[in-house]
Amino acid sequence: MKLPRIPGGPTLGLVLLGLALAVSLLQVLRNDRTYSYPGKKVIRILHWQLEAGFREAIGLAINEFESLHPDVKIEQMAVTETVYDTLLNTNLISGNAPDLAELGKGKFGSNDEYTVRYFLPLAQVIAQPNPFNKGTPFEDTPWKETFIDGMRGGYRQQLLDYYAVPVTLFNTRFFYNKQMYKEVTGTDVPPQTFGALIEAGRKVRAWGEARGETITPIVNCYKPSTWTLEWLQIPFTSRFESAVDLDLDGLVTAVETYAGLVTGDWNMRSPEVVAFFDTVGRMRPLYEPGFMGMDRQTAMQRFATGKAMILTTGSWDSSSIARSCEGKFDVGVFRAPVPSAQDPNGQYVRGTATEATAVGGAAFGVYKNSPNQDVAIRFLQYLTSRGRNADIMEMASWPPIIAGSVPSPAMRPFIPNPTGYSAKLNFEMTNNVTTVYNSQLDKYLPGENTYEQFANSYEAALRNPRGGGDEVWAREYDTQMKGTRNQERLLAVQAMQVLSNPQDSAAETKYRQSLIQQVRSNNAQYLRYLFEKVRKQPIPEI
Amino acid sequence: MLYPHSSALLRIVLASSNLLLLASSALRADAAELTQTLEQATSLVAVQDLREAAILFDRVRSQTERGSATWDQATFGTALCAQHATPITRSGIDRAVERFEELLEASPNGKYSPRAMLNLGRIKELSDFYRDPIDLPGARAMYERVIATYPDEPICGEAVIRVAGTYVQTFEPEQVRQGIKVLEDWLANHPDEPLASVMWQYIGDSYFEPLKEYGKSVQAYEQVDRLGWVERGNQGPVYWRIAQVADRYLNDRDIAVKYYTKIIQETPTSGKAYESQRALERLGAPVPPIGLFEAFNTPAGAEPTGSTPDGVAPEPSAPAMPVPSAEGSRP
Repeated sequence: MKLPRIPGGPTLGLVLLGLALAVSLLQVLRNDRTYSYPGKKVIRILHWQLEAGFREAIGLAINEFESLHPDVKIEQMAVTETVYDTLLNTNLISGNAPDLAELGKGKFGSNDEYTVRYFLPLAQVIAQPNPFNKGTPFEDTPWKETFIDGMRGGYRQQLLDYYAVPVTLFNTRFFYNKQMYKEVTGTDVPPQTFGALIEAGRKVRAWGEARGETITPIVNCYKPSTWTLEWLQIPFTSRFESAVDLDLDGLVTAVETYAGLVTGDWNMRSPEVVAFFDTVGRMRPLYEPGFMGMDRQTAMQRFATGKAMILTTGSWDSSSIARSCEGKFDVGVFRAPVPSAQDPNGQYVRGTATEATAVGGAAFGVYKNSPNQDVAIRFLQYLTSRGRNADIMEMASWPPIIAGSVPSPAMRPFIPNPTGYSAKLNFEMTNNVTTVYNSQLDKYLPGENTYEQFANSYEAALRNPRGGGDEVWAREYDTQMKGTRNQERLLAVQAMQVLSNPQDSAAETKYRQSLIQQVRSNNAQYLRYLFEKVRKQPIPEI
Repeated sequence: MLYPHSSALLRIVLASSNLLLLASSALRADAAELTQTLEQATSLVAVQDLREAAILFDRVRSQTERGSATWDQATFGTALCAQHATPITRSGIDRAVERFEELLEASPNGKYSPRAMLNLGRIKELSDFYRDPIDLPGARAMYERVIATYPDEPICGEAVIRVAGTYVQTFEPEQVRQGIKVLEDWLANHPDEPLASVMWQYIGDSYFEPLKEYGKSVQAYEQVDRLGWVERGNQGPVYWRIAQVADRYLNDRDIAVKYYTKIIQETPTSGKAYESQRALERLGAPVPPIGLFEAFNTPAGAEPTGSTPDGVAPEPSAPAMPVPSAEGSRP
């Protein structure tokens, strides 16, 4: 079929092309104008924290900082998680990255080999006092030491340096409907023990039924197995530490957990282990049917509409929760409770889990090629100064990260509590063992199988000569040997720095830190030696 | 004209001088360019872009005189890149060995030669790729050669540690003792050894496991504490080990109290501060507060109320969370 001829075709084409070019040019100029402030140093800060309150908090900090520095303009770029990786990676490759970018997501912001290429190592900067702490007790304290977590949240173990500055502490809490809770239980005091939590759950169900409503005691933003096990596993299994922590470093690894099973220090019939999983099972009546598949949005919606009394999630959701419940009910916060001595299984509880190891979140890296690195660093110093960090994070309803910060009464429940224990049996290992553990747990939690079935399957998987604990051990040995080899590369790179710049004492210090880490690992041969000692046979080859 | 050929001679001299000047300028420009290329290559090494760095090192190597300082640096650079650029292959390792050996032959006393010799030992010791055999005796011999060849170089300290490592990693008790002896002898004869802290910590580890000589282990760690921890800030796990060993096996109350206290005061975020408080309480020693978390400091010895396990204490009802205003407010 012959297409009709368009009158003035070629001319029309030229006109359309010209129009397209003009529109593009206008867009470019507009963008340029957006980021061009004559006479000002402009920095951009990129993050993915779209939770209610955080953008406002950063906006507050920006306003304050700009008023102190009239020659500075800061642009906040908050983007959704789904495009964050692509945006950051593309801009890094093109050499046009924001001056500050939240790290921990995406290849270039997470993988060490890219982080070291694009972001500034901060060890030397953070060793100096934060100038915004002048006049406070931290006036002469290295910036790093003013953080509750010692700035661990920004540390890269493999690079032996700090690459990001965290601005808050994340932790997990129970958020509850205060009015509903008071009406149901007759008290303002949130559950202090596991037994009180179960009882409150029972009461709210009955209360709902009396009103012809279905009220779920607890909904979870994240997978219940992660949440429930997290806060109960240490209280119940910490007692095994003295038997299974073979190298006495205060941590119980997957290998040590398996070794303890082999040597008879524990098994799935140990009273503490049975008690732990039994307690986890006692949570079932607190959830609604199909709770394993509930997503975050649904959980938050259930809570905000009064269909659930308690919501478990992280402190990063606190502002969003407050906003979604505004005008409907007050929201309280409490820490996950453990069984008391009077509760079922309480006699096996050693204590709560410590939160002293909490690490900072929302950590920002400084782009290596930023033309205004000094301003970018200064802004981070302002964000994390003793006088302002708590107030700025308060706007996001997030806890402060700077030591000595005086949190508001509303933020106190989020401050990490160092009371408690740290070690636990490490049931989740790798490969087939983890697959069996998780799949069996996913059936056990909603009551689709019994503990006996769960325990039998898991222990069988562990003891399986193929794909079981022996393989977990062998894989860990292989991983550590490869780690030693990777560390050798880092040492070589650092040695080159030392040879090229003999006066650089920082390079020498880093070299020694890498050296001692590698030397102490003995090329992973401790794992081989331990296997031969415990299993009385050579370690399998992977 | 007195000398009929003098003007011609003068012109020749002048022309030659100009040519010489031009040549030396060109050489200086070349040398500057080579230096810049080397700097670029070194910067690429710093960000672990070893393939690109190798290209630049090779370029410099091909344009410089064998055995010159520049050639040495470029040769060392190419060897390092061949050794470590991923994926690591047999041919890459072979090329690295070849270049390190060439460097040692051409510049035995050059700046990079001690490290080149040590690296040959590292290649023997480590498994560089799948099924690459480990040659501990061969590695040991190379490290000992470093010590014998460069006795006054700081790298000797590291070579001694590496020698010890070839014994200790066997985890055979007599071999481990041999490794410890290597370190202890060196420390006795080199009181100013810069890597003394690293050595003492390694000695402490080796006495701990597999020898289980806990007293000697603690003594070695005490030396580290006196000298200063290389991994300052990360010594919490070692403090815990020392405290536990002293408390559970050695019945050494003083050491246990010292290190439980250090955990609380120096490494409060190690996760063991609370347990250290409890231990000090049990030992009848003063119990310091956990400084970073004043808002939640429960005095040690205070029994949790309501017959609850550790850490479960009734808290006052938390006030309702604030609802942020729509607009940011300035303080």
